[in-house]
Amino acid sequence: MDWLLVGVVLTAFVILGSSRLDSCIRMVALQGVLLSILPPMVRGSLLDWHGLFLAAASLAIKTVAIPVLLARSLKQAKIKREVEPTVSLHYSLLAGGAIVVIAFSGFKLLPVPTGPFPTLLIPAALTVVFIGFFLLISRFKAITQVIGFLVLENGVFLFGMTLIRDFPLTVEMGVLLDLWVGVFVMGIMIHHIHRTFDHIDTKAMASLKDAE
Amino acid sequence: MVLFVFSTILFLLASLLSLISRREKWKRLLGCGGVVAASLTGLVPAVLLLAGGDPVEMTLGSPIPSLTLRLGLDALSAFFLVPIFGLSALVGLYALGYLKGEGRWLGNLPFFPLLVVSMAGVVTARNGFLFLMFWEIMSLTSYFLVTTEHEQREVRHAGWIYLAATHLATAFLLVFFVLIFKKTGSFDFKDFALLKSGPWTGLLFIFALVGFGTKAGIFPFHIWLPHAHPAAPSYISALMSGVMIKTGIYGILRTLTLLPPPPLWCGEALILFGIASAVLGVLYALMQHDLKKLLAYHSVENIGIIVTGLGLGMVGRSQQNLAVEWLGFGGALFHVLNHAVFKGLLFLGAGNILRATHTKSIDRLGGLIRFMPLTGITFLVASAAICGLPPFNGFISEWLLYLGLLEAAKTSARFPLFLCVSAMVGIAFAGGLAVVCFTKVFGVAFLGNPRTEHAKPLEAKWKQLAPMIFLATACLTLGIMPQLILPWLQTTLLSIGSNASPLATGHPLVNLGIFSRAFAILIALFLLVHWIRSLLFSSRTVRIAPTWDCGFKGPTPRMQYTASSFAEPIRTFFHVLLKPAVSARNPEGLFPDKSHFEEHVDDLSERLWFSPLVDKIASFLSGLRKRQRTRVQDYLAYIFVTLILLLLVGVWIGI
Repeated sequence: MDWLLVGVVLTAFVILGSSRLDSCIRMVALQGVLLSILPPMVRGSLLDWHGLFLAAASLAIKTVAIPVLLARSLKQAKIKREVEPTVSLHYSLLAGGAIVVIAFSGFKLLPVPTGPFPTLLIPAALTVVFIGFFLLISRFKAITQVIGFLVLENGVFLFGMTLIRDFPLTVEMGVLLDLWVGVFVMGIMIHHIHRTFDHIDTKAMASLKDAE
Repeated sequence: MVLFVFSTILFLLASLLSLISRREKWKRLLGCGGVVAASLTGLVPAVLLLAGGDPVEMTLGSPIPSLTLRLGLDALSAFFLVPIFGLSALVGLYALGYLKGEGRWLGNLPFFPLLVVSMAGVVTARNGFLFLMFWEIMSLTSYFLVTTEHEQREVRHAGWIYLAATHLATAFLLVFFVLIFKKTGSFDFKDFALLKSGPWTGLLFIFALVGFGTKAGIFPFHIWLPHAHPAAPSYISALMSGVMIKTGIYGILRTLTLLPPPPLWCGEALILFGIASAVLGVLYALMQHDLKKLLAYHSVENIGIIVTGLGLGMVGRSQQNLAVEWLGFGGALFHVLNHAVFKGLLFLGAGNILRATHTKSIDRLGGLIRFMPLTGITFLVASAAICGLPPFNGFISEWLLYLGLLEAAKTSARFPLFLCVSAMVGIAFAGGLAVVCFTKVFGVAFLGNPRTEHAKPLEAKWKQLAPMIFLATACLTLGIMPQLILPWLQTTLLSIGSNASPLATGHPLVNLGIFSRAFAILIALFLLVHWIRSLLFSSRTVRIAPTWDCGFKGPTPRMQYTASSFAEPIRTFFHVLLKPAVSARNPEGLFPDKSHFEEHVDDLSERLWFSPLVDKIASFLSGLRKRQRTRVQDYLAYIFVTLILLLLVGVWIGI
């Protein structure tokens, strides 16, 4: 199961280090595929309906629906690259490395539930959450914001794996629905920002600041 | 418990239906009528339990593992549910008449049933998480009710003060429950028993005291009361002052049952806070010109009396003195009930006055008893009761407290002795000033002649008067037959873990039945004197004439004693403490020109502590505001850095 987690972390790194937006979207979709394999494996049985249902739902939302939506708005917005991230891509990768160090060195001391899940799960989840957060901070295009949010959400999904035995299915479905609605709203917003301002740079939001 | 759940559903329905109905009449009928029906339903299980039923509990389910939400009904909950539901039912009936023709106030009416049901939830929650949830619902619904007349600037201001104060209280309570959670690993009240006694107990108690004390209105934390009560519509002030602030008292009592026995100084601290609230509350009440603000300060005073009782009970408990424990807790609990009755009545009376004259300023009223006789008489009864005069209910609870203080003074030495004596002096002093204060209110507002030329004030409708008459009767009944409540007090005290019984006090006077006889004689004497007086006057002719004007020409009603002049001697005496701000222009010369006199008294804790504090915070925040960043990424970066730091701290230091 560890190869899945390693794959998830690696895809997060690819997103962190690539400037092309379409490859970012593809990586998010790939991450979604890797994540949806996890629930049945953690449940321990491939025929368990709870795990299968969760897998199918997250595959549908994370791998198909959201990337398609993002690709469409990318095409509409006519941009290909994140031109000027606050932190350059090289430094982003370095920061990602630091995040991995913090996450993997710290987790053993955290009071986490023990259970039938791989030991790498918690540090991997932490890493992905922090990388998502870092993406949110360092990128300016509205689409990369959505991608950062997705990566963060995927990290939270990984955390959720530790509780998959205790949590009722409804809670997880609720989280997925939440994500879907969030991205949907963001997609609409990107569309409107693009229509109104002719670009999707969130830096322009500064003009909304209160007059002093 | 079935009835309790049923009444909860009724409350929610009332709120919802009142929200969605369009017609004003239905909005009012469904909102207020729903409160009456639901409260009466909820009253039944509470009374049955106090009459000797068994405590019941109910699990609401566990939304996430390791958190089970439970409601429970034991004697302590029931004892607070009785005033909550009882007063709500009466206030609901009152509001039915009060809100008639006030369409602009109906928008906030759906919060009224929610406020009542959240108060009931607070006293029945058996889980810290659920408790805080209900506590917040209570704070928010009451905020929306306070700001009913939000088109007025000062009402919005009062609303903000209330919101800030109540959230400050919640913050302390949050820390309180989280600290306990860290020690016991559970939010469930049942598991709090695992808590070991130690230095923690005192710290927890301080958090509980500030949190619950802010809601209750204990002295330095009371500043929201004099702002919020005048701003709220009168029926809401009655509910808030009568029962909502008592949830703070409930919280302190519940804390006592949950925590291991707190050290002696906790009880002593409570007594000190109680004395300060009682004395300062009544002093500030005396200085007010606004009727509802005055009543709000009297709530501070009465909460002070209740808290003194609680402190006395705690001192008795830690000294294993059963008599003191019983008298302290018993007096405090009885006063909770009594205060709900007479303070509710006073605010409802103030509502009638406000509706009839459209002013809250006492100095503009006068002679109201001729126009509104029933409001006047019920107001008089409530005033006598709040001053602790026999034969009304306030006397009995204060009597129990005095007995307890005397008992404690007999058996203790040094600091506790000093405290008991100061408490006795303090409560007596507060009682005396309360008499002055209500003489002022009643004398100026109801007696004499009208001071302003306004339309003839009309007596309220029966829907408003019926609850008031009921409450006035309750004042008298509880005063004449206090032994009716004794079994309730007994079961409630048993449920908070004190084994003391009234017999343990061994005090002959605690046999409350004696009051029935004493008061019967008192009333008989009063009637006798009245009869003799009417006998004497029957043969004479009584002539009503203008007041002798000392030779001046043309006295006007404005030359009557005003409320401010009535309170002047006391203000002069305490001017060091009160620091009145005067702005005056004296009449000068043979033909004096325009002159005026204005004076107001600022609250001590507001002046010395809260105002400077808020100013400091505001200047700090406005400095921060200049640094406001414009990009959302910057804010995210702040959050990110904070989270990483917290994680590192959590990992390396282990909190």
